[in-house]
Amino acid sequence: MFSTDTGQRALELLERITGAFKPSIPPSAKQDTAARTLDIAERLAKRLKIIPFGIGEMATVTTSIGTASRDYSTIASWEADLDNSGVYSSGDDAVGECYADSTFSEHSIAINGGGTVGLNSAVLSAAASERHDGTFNTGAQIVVSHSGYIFDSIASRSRVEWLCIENTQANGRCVDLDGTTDGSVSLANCIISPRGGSQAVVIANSASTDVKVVNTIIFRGLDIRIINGADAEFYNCTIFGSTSYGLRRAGSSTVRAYNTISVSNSSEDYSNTTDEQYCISDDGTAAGTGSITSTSANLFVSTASGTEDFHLKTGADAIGAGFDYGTTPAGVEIDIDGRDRDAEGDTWDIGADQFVTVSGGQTINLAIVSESNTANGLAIIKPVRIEVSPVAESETVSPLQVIAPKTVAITAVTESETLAGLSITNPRTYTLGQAFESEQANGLDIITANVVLLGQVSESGIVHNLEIGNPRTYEVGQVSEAESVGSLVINSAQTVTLQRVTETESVNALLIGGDQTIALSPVSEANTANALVIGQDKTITLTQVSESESLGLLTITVGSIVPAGFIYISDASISVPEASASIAVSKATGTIQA
Amino acid sequence: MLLWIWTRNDESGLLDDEFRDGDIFQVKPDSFEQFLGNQDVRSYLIVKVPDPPNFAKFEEQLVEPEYGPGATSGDENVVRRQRKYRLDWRSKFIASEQALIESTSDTLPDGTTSGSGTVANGVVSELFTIADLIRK
Repeated sequence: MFSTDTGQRALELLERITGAFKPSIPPSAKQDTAARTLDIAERLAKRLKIIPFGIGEMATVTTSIGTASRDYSTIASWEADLDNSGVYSSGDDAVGECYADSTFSEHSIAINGGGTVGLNSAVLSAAASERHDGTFNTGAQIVVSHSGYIFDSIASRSRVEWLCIENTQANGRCVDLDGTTDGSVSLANCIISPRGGSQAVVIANSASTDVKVVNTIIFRGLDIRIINGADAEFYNCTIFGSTSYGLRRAGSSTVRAYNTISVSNSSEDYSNTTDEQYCISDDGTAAGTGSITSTSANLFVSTASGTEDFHLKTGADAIGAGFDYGTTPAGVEIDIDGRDRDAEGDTWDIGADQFVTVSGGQTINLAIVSESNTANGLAIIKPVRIEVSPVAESETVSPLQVIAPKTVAITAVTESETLAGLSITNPRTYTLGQAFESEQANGLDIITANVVLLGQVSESGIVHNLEIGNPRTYEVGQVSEAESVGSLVINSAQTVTLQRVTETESVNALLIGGDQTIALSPVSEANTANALVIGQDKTITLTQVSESESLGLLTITVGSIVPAGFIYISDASISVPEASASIAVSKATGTIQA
Repeated sequence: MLLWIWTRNDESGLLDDEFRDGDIFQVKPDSFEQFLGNQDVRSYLIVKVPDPPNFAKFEEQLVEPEYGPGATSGDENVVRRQRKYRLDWRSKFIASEQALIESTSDTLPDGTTSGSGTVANGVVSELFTIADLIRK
């Protein structure tokens, strides 16, 4: 027997050790400390080939699939190896994790290996970092133009999850689920679009088929067809925009839908289905217990072709209208974004997405916002802290609105137009850690920030038209190339510091009004401060102005805040290289002293 | 083009979804060589043969799975996944080389094979041509 302290410490140590292993050994929930410890120890020992194992002692063998030095380069290669006794043992759970190194272009895939070795299960998934973000064309994806199926068969004990799947050919098909006969979940957390007009899911060939689909989005293309006596159940799925039926049963099949949305289809949303509980249709064909009628306009963030986003919008009719199915069937509790409805204690929504309400005082961390349009329409109100890190591709946070957070940190903004339309009001601290490329902050408005820091602004055109009003401190740490801060306007800053402005025309048309302290240090190359206007500042320091024409058209207006109306230029010489040039010094009152 | 060759006899190749020793179960263009996975070259024999002029057709037909009729009238065809083409790979390797190829934890070392083929990063080239493919 374990003592509580000793057992817990042993478990924690083993979990830390196994956490460093690749492939990973995932946790098994709902085990007590002793059982969990034994489970991990056995798996670890097997991985290290320390002791022989017999029937019933299982390991999860995770391998990677992708085109960047992974274990396998194709899904077919991974699948064909499921019966390789040099890789797997009887009772193992095989997990193939796809990486979005490139788009997978395979078809006619059958996930049905492992019978010879005696695998307990085979799961084709996406690595945690490679999963879609709940919208199409994100994460690991299979895109094919093929007249047949992409997945020909997904056998019992097998599952496909977390992938985006598209067949662009009109007479093609995406997924055939005939191979599952044990009533298990064969398809989970996928986003399937046969937008070319092909068929999404077909369950047609066998009366022995018994299959479940959970938390999957299927949009456009043809219907989901279940015929010839198959038994199919759909939990928390979202079906949209079929050019035929939505969910269609024919013949002697049995089709049940739970917590499922099916709307905007050309024909019936639920055609002859056996039961629809807690479902949504827009034509009234979801008639079972708890079912309601709604429309796509009252449900989804966006149904615009090409930018579909089937997350539930604020106030969607599906919110809180679902039934709590706990953890049965397996994975039903994990929504399209990976949120565990059961563990979070959510009131279940209908559809693949569980709407999440964020109220003041909570912490939001968007750890990986990686592709285009990821956060369109996101509104976050009065959070304590927001981190978006990293934001990697174009238009990622357009048009994100953040109102009155205490801290906003966008640490890695790497590509073009990333922050177009971003509006941040009243943050205490605003930091752009790394803004690398052109036009990144066009149209960015930051109003009344206490502190604004642009740590590294490295290329051309980066902060055109940036307006910052009344910051206490404004720092542009490294502005290195041409036109980096053209038309920059900073009003009433207490301190403005441009530490390293190194190349031509970096601060053209810079206007700074009413500042207490301005320091340009160093300003090193030609035309650096052309047309610089500084009005009524207490202290101006230009140290290290080293090359020609650095201060062309420099104007300093002496205001009432300067004691006794003096301007001091100490230990300096002024040269006039051209005969036609001149130095003009004017005064309203007082004297000019050499 | 690159051919993935099944090198084990743990399946009969006669039943649905089974391969047989020598079956060609995947074809990729030469440019795919840079993407090969570590286990790809351990689990299978991957050979490079000179590209035929109509590579796309070869790529499709060499691995085209066979379909059979469904169980009842009106059912769709069922994929049999038996391969039509194979390669008699064993005839060009000596026993010790075959053992390495069959091993799922090793692969042929870089260099020259007994049959004067070339091995680089587990891929065998200059040993087979299209003429070596066999219609089953």
